[in-house]
Amino acid sequence: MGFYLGYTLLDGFDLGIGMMFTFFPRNAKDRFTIFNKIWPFWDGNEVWLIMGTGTLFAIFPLVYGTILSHFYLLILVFVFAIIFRAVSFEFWPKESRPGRKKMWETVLVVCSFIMAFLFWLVAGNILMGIPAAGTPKAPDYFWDIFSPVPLVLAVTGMNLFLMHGFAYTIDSTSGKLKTAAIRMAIRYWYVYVAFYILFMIFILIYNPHAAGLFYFWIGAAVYLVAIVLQKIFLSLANSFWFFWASASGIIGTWVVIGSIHFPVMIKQTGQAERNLTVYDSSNTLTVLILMAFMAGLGMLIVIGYTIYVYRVLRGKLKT
Amino acid sequence: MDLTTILNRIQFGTAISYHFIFPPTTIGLSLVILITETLYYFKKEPLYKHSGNLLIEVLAIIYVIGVATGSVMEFLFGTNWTGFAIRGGDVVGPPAAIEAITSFALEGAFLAILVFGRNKVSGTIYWVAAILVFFGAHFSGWWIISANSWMQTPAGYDVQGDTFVVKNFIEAMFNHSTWVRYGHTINASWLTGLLLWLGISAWYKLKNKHEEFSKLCFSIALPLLFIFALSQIVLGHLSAVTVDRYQPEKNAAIEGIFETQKFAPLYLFGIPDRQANKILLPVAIPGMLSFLTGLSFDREIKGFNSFPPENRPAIEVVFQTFHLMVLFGGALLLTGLVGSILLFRKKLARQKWFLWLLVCIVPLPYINNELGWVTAEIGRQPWVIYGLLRTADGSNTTVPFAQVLITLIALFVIYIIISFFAFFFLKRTISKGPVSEEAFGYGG
Repeated sequence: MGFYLGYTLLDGFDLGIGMMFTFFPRNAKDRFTIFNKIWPFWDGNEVWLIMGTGTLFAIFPLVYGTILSHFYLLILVFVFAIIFRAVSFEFWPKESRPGRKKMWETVLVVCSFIMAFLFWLVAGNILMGIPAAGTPKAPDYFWDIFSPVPLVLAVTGMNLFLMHGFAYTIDSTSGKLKTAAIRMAIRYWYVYVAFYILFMIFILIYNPHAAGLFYFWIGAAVYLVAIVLQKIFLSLANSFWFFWASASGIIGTWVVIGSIHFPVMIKQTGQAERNLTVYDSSNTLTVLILMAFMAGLGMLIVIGYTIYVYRVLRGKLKT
Repeated sequence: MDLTTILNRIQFGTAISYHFIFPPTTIGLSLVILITETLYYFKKEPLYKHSGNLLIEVLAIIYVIGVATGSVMEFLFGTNWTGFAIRGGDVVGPPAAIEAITSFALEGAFLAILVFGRNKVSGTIYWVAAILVFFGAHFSGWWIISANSWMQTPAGYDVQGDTFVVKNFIEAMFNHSTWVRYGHTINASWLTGLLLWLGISAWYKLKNKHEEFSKLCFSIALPLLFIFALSQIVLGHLSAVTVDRYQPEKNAAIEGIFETQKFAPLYLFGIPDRQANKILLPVAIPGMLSFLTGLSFDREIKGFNSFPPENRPAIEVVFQTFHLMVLFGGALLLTGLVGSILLFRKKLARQKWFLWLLVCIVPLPYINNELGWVTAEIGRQPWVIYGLLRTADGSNTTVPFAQVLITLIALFVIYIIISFFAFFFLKRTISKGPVSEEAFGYGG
């Protein structure tokens, strides 16, 4: 599941920037400047989602099948958003007709919202429990998906990505644009704190047992520390550490939600005995060992050349 | 077969057929780019670099759509084929995951270097990037084909309850049909890429533009077209032999043999009639099928009717797709032959009809790629995992029919929209022609 974490840390800022474009920067040229900063990397970032899903398929096929089947419509809408976002990355820069250009930018922004929202919505639903694979659906099951905790996690997650988008923007730009971004981030920080409080409250209300879990408080602490560090690094205008403080917020969130049910991966509503734990949904030993090796080694190698490509292709733009 | 399963099949079929337009192009172009970049690396002439620039820009567009449509597939196993995913996931999951980790990630990262990094990395690194993109694309193909081949000719597995688990991973991946199907698919991809290169060059030549680019292409691609069209027929033959050995129902269907027989005929044309148990309007070479299959006219070919009715695939469909594919493959071979002769005799420039042929024939490998897959997958029915899991049993029937229908229609519409834009941008990129540094690359 390291792949999904990596995904949120990387595509998180792509999606965050996409969402950010609705209100910052104001002029199209600046937006395009920032776009150029994520352009070479978005595909590599999105791959982490595919690696994670593929690995889920390989190691926990029962979990993979249960999730994808239960959230059929959401997943497919998410997939459509992936498709459109991907092509908008290619078509927006290539378009010279202004109306069409604006259209593709809108597509990018809308799809960023959809992807961020749905990703965390599904995560929130998994957190709260879903029916077992193969059980016929209750007539109004679709609207259950939009219950409190998933919704709160969805918007909190979007907020995490948005801040992450700011972080990457600050780190990749310079001059007037960077200063403007820092100012926006400082103002946004208050919203960010509010989401933390909201998130913590809802999680504890709906999962009271979490208050007794050690790792829950570790996660909450990491998230809180991240908030404080963000404020500090913003005032110091230290873009590198601010980025990692933002990343820590995301990491903290994962620890929080992961801790609540571990080792149960999928809590089956209404049938506790059918909970899918990490142990009983996983595959034969052969495959586990193989995938541990491939995923572990693979992840290291991917991180390695990803860092290389970032180094080579980045370079701050003077505005 | 219930309605939801039928929709699932259509949805998956649509998604994968559309997706399969792009990976062969990517693989084929990665070969062509490797050629031009290697030439540039060693000979340092601008022509090679500018050719590479154009092809890389084309590849970038193709690749993005390949990624978008391919990512869809990763999810579609679970959404529409949940039973298959859960029961076969132990074996099919790992190659899917490993493809993403080792090949897709690699290809994407280094394609970024090719697109954005011409002036940012050394010549050696750039060339290595071209090699890695080539390798990544081909390695991706390996994992996907081996997973699909396991579905066709399962091996190296055990049965645990109602799931299939890996007993020997090497045996499962390197099963009876992986190698030959991989070879056949990669070769097909090379043909796709070469013909695209040829089509572009022929177009330029007809407009009297970018003469050097076209000349380079013809001198390399026409002989390669002939060679690879030939090897494709050989690999196709080996694939057919494999099908005869391991999937006899499919073999009977694609070859149109209703009754088990020795000295079986090789049909070149016909229309299978299931009710009458024969091929209507037949054109056949007597005994040839037996001979090709087993190098002996005494080779017995199992007939379509010798199998239980519930195990027989749609002979009416796969007989035609198979034969059309072979016919078009022959056309490609002929094109390669004629082109190479014209090239050798230096008569190419004046044969405008041949240049037009090259432009018009670009869709042919794409058609063949699809025909081949239809033959393979429809021929495998009623199984999703041959002999082990029926398609109907692997399908997700818990999703309401209406939801599947909505997503199917949406998928159709989305892909049509994307196609329009893809065509538009590809046309514009190609019209620009091979470009130098200043024109190449993107803002920022």
